[in-house]
Amino acid sequence: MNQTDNQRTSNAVLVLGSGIAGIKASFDLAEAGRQVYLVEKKPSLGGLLPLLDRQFPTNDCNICHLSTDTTGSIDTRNVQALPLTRLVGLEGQAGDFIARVITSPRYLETSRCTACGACLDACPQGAVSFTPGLDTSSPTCLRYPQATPLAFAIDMGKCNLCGECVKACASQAIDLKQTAVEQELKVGSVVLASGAETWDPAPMDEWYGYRRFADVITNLEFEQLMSAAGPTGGLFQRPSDGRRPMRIGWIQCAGSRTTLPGGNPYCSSICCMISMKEAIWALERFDQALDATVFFMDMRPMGKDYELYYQRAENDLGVKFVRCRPHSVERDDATGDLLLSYVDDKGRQTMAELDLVVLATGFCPSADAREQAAVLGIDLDAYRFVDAEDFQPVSTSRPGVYACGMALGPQDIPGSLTQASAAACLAGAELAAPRALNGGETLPRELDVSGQEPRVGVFFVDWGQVVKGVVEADAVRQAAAAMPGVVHAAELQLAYGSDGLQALEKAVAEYRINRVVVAGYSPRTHGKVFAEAVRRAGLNRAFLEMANIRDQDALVHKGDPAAATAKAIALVRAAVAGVRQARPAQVISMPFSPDALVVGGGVAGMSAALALAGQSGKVYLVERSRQLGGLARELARSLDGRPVEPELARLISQVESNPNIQVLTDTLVVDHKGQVGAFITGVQSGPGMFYRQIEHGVTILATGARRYEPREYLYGQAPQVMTQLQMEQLLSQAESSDPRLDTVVMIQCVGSRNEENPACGRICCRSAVKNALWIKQIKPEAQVFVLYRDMRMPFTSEDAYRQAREEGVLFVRYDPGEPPQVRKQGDALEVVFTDHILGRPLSVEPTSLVLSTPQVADDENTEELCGIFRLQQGPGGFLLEEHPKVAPVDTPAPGVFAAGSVLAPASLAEARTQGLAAAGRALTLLSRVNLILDTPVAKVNRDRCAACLICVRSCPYGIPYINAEGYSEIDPAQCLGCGVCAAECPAQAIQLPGYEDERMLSRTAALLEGVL
Amino acid sequence: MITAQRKPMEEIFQSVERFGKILLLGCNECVTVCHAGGRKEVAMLASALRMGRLKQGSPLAVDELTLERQCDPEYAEELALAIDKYDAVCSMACGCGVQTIAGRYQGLPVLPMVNTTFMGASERQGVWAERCAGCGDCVLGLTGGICPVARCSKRLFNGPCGGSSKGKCEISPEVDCAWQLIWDRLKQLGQTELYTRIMEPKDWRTARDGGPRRIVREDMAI
Amino acid sequence: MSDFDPVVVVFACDYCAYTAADVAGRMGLSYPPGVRVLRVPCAGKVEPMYLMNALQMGADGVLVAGCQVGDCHFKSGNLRAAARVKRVQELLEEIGIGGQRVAMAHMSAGQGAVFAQAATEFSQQIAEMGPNPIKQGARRAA
Repeated sequence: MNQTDNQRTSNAVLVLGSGIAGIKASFDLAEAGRQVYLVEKKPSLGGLLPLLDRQFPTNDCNICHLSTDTTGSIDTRNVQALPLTRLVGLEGQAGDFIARVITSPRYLETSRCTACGACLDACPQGAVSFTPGLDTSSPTCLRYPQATPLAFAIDMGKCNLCGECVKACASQAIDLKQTAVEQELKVGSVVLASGAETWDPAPMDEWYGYRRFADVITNLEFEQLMSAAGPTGGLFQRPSDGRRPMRIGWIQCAGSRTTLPGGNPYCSSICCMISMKEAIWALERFDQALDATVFFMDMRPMGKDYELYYQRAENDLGVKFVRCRPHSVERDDATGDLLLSYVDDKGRQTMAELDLVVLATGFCPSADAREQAAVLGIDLDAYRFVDAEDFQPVSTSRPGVYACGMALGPQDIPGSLTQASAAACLAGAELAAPRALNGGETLPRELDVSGQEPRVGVFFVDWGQVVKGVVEADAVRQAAAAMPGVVHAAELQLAYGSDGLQALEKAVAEYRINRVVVAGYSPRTHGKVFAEAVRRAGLNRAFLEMANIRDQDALVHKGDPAAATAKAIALVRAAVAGVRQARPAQVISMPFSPDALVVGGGVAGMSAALALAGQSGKVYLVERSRQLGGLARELARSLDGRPVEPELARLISQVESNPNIQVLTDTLVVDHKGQVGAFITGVQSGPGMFYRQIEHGVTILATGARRYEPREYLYGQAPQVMTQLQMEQLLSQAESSDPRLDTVVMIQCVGSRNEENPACGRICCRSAVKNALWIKQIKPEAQVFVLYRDMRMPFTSEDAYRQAREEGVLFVRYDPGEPPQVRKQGDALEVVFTDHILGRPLSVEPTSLVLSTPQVADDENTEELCGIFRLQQGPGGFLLEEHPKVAPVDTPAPGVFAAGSVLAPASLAEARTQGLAAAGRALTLLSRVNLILDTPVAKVNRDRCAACLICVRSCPYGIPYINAEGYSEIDPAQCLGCGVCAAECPAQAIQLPGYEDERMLSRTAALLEGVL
Repeated sequence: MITAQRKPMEEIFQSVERFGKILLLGCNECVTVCHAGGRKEVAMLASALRMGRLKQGSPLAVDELTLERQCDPEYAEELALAIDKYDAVCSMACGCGVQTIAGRYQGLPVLPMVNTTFMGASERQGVWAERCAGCGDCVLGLTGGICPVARCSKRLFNGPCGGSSKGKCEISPEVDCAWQLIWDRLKQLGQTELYTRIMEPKDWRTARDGGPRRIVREDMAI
Repeated sequence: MSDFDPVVVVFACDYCAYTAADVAGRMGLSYPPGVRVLRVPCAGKVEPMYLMNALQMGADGVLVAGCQVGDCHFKSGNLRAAARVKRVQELLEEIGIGGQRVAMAHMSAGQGAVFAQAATEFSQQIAEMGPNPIKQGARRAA
């Protein structure tokens, strides 16, 4: 890491693995002006995500988010994708590596392959049909129908060179003589994102009967059953007899949390959410009368607001939950029913009859994890995942090599993406200065279509089962084709990384289209992508209008296909009417400030500031209190058991001594204006409230949360009662003779998962186990009880949980309806709780009663912050991110990012990862030299202006003024485009492009055509 | 500025009852600024008229047009070519505009859609108040810039009446006593001697009392 | 009037209600299909004319959906919208169309359920009022 700048010669990063984490890291780096080699072992990009039909918690299909990134841009945006490629050597050091990679032959020319499938049909080697996910045995294996690149590959291991495929290929794409190519890549750093594999239930066949019974399937196979792209084409049939399953049981922890041979001792972290999602999706899609039951030990919905999802699944959506230890699956041959035997939480042996059993199988490291680690020269943990510490959450043991995603352990998509951005951020620090980007990519010249009659192209994008199952596509297409000005109406596949955007560009040229309507997605999520495609096609970005058929029609009117179809036609008609009147948007360019403002000096904020300091301009770190450190100051040990203080002190001193960081403690943010690239934020410092303004290009908000102050269980009324943090402080100084450690009772979920705060505290279970083990370490004979509702111990923290039980810590579950009772008996305390197995109350006199309390939103501060930065608060008062799944550290305000517990309760490792990730995301903007403004801004027609002043008076930002010539003038660089002035102007002299009065009128008229 | 307010819809409906096609005519001057008869108000009233009449089953065709200024004959001339199509012109200008249009197109009913209220000023967005009565003999120089003609309920010229109480007029606690305002302002200016000067009875012939008024600029009226 | 499915135009602010409507879809909620959304950058962009136009073109009701009071991305666009809605209500009362055919709703971006509920309830309210009376007038006139 001790690199001097002149040694950092490379501007390139090697990214290993092209799952969602690898792709995210690649694109963050590319956007930050870095060169990326994206290396993938398999023939196509995408990793595990494309196997999932839907993703929690929005139950949306997010493949588009993956592939809108991969399509159209993958070859042009500094990313060179190398599928069928593996790393065989890595020499050198951080900043100056030589990576050797070998690309296997694909045996076909991807530029020629049309993915027609003729080779697949022609191959006699067991290639029966294409069944993605469920059958990868075909030598010509296309993993999912819309793989990137969209081309087949041939597995020479199974090929006997019969040549049938060569004959079958009409485009002569197959070349069986291709050979492997080895090359050396000069890179400054490496990001390992090689992901994980799904656990194979075959070794535990004795218990689960996965190989014995066709109707026992894995959760990923269930996704395929549900998928329109799957083997049954979306028909919901069980494998054995094609019957629609009415009783489905999910078995949690299949192969996880077990020490039995063939299984994994760790928790796979996300299977609970996957099963709930599948159950909800099945209930919603097929039949409310469906019996969907989840058999579980502990429900572990761990991510932000996942607990609310669990509560909705149970209370509103009809998913049944049975707390038990599933034992084994058998089959009743007479009825064909599957019989699941389990032990319920009263200890009784019970049996459930099911039509379909879904194994919530977890994830394990890739088969070649050890081999790859050896090539990279990095350490793995006992399970062959990459070993990382809480304070260095995306670093490996070799400097310059970073890791993200499932290579670090099973986790959800937001976690993977956050780590990816964090790894990208650190990988960038090892490189030479980035190449400057300013939005001046080579684009075709914009066609002047003024004076041309509108020629509208309507594209129905990704009308999969979700839309077509409700809206009659043909009817809408025919109606669209007949609308005034429409010259072309066609379907387009964008999702799954096909060539959809290029097809759109081609169609624009072919049909001389000068206005585009995209019908399908919401303009909110996909507007930008299509605006860029329209621009690439040579049209102004404003010549696009979108009809929101998915979110605002198909998804909400499932029960009324006829009305949904009529509405779809109306929405398309409104978009066509609107786009016919589109005028080109003007684009303004101004300098982009390289400086950053970080608000909040906790671990997240400091991590962000430090990461930015080396890679961009000046960083202003603003902290409300008098010292840096935030909530971590109170923490003695991190969740991995390491002492916090030395690491924290190091971080603080690095921040304080960095010449590029200006630390402003005792400082409040008071106002904020401008836009990304040119923000101006006012702060007040010190007791004198000295005011100054900071100019900066990006903002990172990391203002943290606060500790919940318990009112429960005699807290503050008896000396024995304390929080886990207070216990931690006690343990830092305690000796084995300390009588307070004799009998310790811990109560979980105090101040969380209740009516007032329905969210899960996320880290309290792990804190409790950490402290219980610590107590046992200091005083092995101590009696420790943990009264819990679900022990939420993700990944290897499950090992700590097991260790705690082995060391005699007693874990006793309580129902929320029957919480433990705490009474004062003189100076002593009594805790009474019910033991579920024994079915009777137990009484303990604790010498310490420890309450596991959550971090809760710092409501007042966050609310103020939201007011200043124009953001919103979500459930529980935490800051609302741009998208909980795919943009976890972005906010809806461009150029403003967030990290740490201001978003949700966060562990130290998470706060650090998010801080780095926010910095990584910010660097994607800071690489720009110029700020390009193309949002519509209000325009004044001077001939109509009566200089009445209403615009001057009504603008929320005081931007319009009456100029020397006597009419209103609005600075386009300052206007934010709200349209209030346009709405107030009595002379219709002000118009907001895109929302001109006539255009709104036309849209309304079109929307209502035929109603009167 | 001349201020105006839209007439009640009932009155408007009655006035256009016998017509099938009208021109609704706005003005881009005073009535635009006071939100009574600019383009947007024209559009609103047009829409209300169409809907109201459609509801009754007797549709009314309404064309919308806003002139730069209705009270100048040249602008009024802009209607000449299209005017025959209409059963009536409904003007949203002040009375001056209505009369200019009516004077130019004598064969056609020209109806007022607004009540012209007063010459006023904007206190803030959305609030206008009377400031001038057009008396033809301005005394503002003697009264601290506050007009006793327009702002005193009784148009008194030599101090307040007995109805002035705590700075308010006896007609309403909402109305400031103009003479209180004058006194305060004169004090502020150090010109209280102006208050003690007796003003002669006002010669109202310069105001409306002398009959309709005209201004002729010989140098310009060529 | 239970046999009547009202057509309702919603002018939805991009920062809150339009997003909430998307969220409603992703949450799998539903509301009557007569509800059709037009996107605006801020409720403060919704002009009284938009409401009048929609009714004049045959909508049975018009809903303006903006941010929660105090949460407007542009400070007070939602309050302006609410005041304009009130004015249009008065005018509609005056011309016999019914002031309650237009209404204002407030919600935040994540509140898909609030959007679905507001859309459903407003639609029901309009259903109880019956069709836009200009429709019958138009038929009589024809």
